[in-house]
Amino acid sequence: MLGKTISHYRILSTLGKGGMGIVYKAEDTRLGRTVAVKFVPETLAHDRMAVERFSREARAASALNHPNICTVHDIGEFEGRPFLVMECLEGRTLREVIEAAPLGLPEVLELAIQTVDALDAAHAAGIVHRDIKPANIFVTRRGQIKIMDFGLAKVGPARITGTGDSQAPTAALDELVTSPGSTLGTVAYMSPEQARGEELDMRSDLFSFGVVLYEMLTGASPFQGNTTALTFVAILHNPPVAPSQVRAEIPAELDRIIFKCLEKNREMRYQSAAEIRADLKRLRRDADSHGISSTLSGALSASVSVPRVSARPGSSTRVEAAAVPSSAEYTVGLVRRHRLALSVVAGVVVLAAAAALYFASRPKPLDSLAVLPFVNMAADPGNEYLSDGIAESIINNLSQLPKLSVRSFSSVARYRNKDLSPQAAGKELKVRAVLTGRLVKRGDEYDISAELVDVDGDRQIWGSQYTPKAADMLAVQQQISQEITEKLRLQLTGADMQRMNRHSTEDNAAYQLYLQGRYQWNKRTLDGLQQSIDFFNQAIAKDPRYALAYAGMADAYALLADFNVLPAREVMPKLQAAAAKALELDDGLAEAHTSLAWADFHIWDWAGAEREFQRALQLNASYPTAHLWYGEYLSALGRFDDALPELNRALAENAQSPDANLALASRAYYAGQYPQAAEQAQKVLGLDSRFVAAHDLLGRVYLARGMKADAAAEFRKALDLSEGDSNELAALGYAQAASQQTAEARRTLDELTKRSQDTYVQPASIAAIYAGLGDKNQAFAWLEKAYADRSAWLVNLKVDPFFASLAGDPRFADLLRRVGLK
Amino acid sequence: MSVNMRRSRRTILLTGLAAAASPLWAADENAIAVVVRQDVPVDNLTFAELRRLMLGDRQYWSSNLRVTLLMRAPGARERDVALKTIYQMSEAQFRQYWIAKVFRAEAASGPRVVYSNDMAQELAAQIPGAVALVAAGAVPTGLKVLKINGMLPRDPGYPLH
Repeated sequence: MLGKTISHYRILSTLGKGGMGIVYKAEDTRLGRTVAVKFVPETLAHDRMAVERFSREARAASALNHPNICTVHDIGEFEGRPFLVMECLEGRTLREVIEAAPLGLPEVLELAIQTVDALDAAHAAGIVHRDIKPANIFVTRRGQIKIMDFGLAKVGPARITGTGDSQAPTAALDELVTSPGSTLGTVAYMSPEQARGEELDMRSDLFSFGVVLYEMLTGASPFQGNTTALTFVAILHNPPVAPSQVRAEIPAELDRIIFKCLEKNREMRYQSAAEIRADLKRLRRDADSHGISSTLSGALSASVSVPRVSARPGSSTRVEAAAVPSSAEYTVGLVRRHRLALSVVAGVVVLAAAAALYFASRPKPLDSLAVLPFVNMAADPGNEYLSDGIAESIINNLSQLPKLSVRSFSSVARYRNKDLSPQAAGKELKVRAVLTGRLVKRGDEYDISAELVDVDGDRQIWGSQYTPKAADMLAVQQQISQEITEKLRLQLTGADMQRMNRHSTEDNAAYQLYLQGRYQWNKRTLDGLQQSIDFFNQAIAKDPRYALAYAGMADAYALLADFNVLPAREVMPKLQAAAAKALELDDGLAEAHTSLAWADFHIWDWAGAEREFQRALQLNASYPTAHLWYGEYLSALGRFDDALPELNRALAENAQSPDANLALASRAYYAGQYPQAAEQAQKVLGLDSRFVAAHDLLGRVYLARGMKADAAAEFRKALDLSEGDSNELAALGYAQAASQQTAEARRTLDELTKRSQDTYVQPASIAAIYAGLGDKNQAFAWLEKAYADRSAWLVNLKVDPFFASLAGDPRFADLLRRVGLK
Repeated sequence: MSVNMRRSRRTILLTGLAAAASPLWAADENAIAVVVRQDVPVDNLTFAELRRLMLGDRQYWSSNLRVTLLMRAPGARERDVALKTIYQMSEAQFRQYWIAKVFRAEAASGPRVVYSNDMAQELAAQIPGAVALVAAGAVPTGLKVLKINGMLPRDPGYPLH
């Protein structure tokens, strides 16, 4: 088998052999990564039960996507032998870890919490493992738990009987203790109901977990017997010895947790893995906050007093003396031996210091991340959408995770092709980890490398290389996202993982078109907008069920309205339809709820807009666009105090964003806080001196402060930079009118009227000029046209100083009422 | 007198001397020619017809020959002249115009962008029904130059400068 290529897996070496399979290390030549390929042994290739077991394992594991569950990538058949392709793990089984050296309490708690988190995810997916034991729990070199071997798993409501169709030997290749033909699972870890051959549910796994936890702490099994039969008796009838009686330092709370796991009656047991996780986390927190003197001393002194199990638990457990203690253990042992000569206080100080050292060095989850645009090494503009797009896809995936704050693409886009270290970028972006990547096209393949860097620690956390073809690009970004969650040690639930991956398409061509659409949309230009709509349409044509493509389309329509390309009356129905379709396909898409909120905002459905904004933020509390637009919505309503935290949150997610900074300036302007508005607008221009909207706003602020010449200068800059945009021309016209330059203002009015024959000119902008000229009748006539068009400007009617001169007129009050602002 | 008018007057003199050699040899180099393939069944357009064509309001040359507009990228003189004289729009308006046109399904797409005169000529020669605006002095043989209001680029009063 060695050297052969099976499908696209090149076999490199043998990792292990056992009764139920042979596992090879292999290279996935398509994605350029190392994998483990597990074959049914030749002797069992035609064994129905063995094949069923493989199939069961594949079905169960592939239904789960969790950092603490070994990932099954693929399943196939080669020369009549089924095989599974799994992630290749480096480390040891928990069995080997327990046997190698005593585990300290903090380590036990960490490993136990990860294990129970994985169980929670499996149970949430309706899967009961049924063979939880140390040999099926892998501990990677980085201390990450991976539950393996779902070969005995129960998927869905399948019923188990003592002689059912799934009586294959247990999963551990070298740990077979179950007598064939009896009951599933490894005897020492069986729940009472499993031992009785009754129907199992997830509470059976929780019992097995309790046995594992007991063993991690004490090194011994709670239910020992010299024969299988005696072990059964112990499980069914004998109460276990309290762990604290084996190791006096084990806290009473941990005794309680273990006993609750090991309740014979499952109704009295924990009812869910989440409950155990909560109790373990609470215990860990309390240990942290109370200096953990008791817990740590237990962990260290255990090595000199606790009997250790060297053989697998079960029918022939053997107990022997502990391993040679480490230097720390020796120190503590010395303290204990001479405790009469040493004060208790001194002992506590030593232990507390050791505890502090331990906790200082314990890896903590990195909870904030920036994914920088990948570097397009070939400098081929044709691939730029990919180098940006992969980064944006990863951002989208990871943004779904509530435990991780991910900087938005708009905040990292400025690092494109910027010669700055990841650490420097990470510090600017205020994140703890930065992902960088490179992409180069070679023939019909791409070389993609990615690297995850710890900003504070200045070290590489992870790095990987892939050589996919264009058709496999989708798989690569998903793979990178998944590997990052693992490397960041995020404790994800099954629901988290599902949320992370569910917005995607299976159609790579649709994905590529979507990326091109996003790339164009991100340019925030009219040309880019036009092209983005075209690409999103093509993506939808390829995969009509691609929710993100509809959401992208909705976003494009939102910008169309924002740029005043068309009347809101024309754009909003299409925006609503695209967003509704996206939500029909995936109601959990925060982007689509945000777009829908934007539409409601602009058709003056104020309550609907607020509901949608809040729903979006409920789904993704760190989605900056939702905070930004919600803040603008609140400003328009005059709820300036409510708007401030939303805008600040948008800014926190993306401190360098001109849009977010400008929204803050706009809020100050509408609130009448002109000095702050001017200062903030200047800050925006410091970020981007060519930002048209910032010059426009600064002009408005100057006008409000009576600085008419300065205002006109800013409006002219905006007009030049926008290459003659009608909105900027109208703003200049207002400044002319307000400066009593009546002739100039009228010429501008004429020009706008002429323009309106071919292109859309916001009637509200013409109304503003008439208001500036003091011609109220014309101003209201044009405001009525704006009302008919649902002109975007009218959302700010209540707070916009441009219309302040009309405020006392009953027609203005009537208009406000009809827009829903009064 | 504008610079363009002075240049037009000089062109008239040159045209008289060399018209026999090539009808375009003496073209005003600042003029912009409207070029199509020889098989386009139109030789002359009024300025209003040209504007309708370039605005996408006329989309067929004949019942089975669709118009494909080719437009130089921003920054090119051909584009500036088209915006100023034909479209009478700013750059921003031009973009806004085409987005709205496509959004309303009044056109399948906006003009195709070309990045050089060579590219414009090449595509004009390849795509049936394509129409491009190119510098009058650089029109290759094989393409037809449309008269506008009965005038070629060398003629006085030709509107596209």
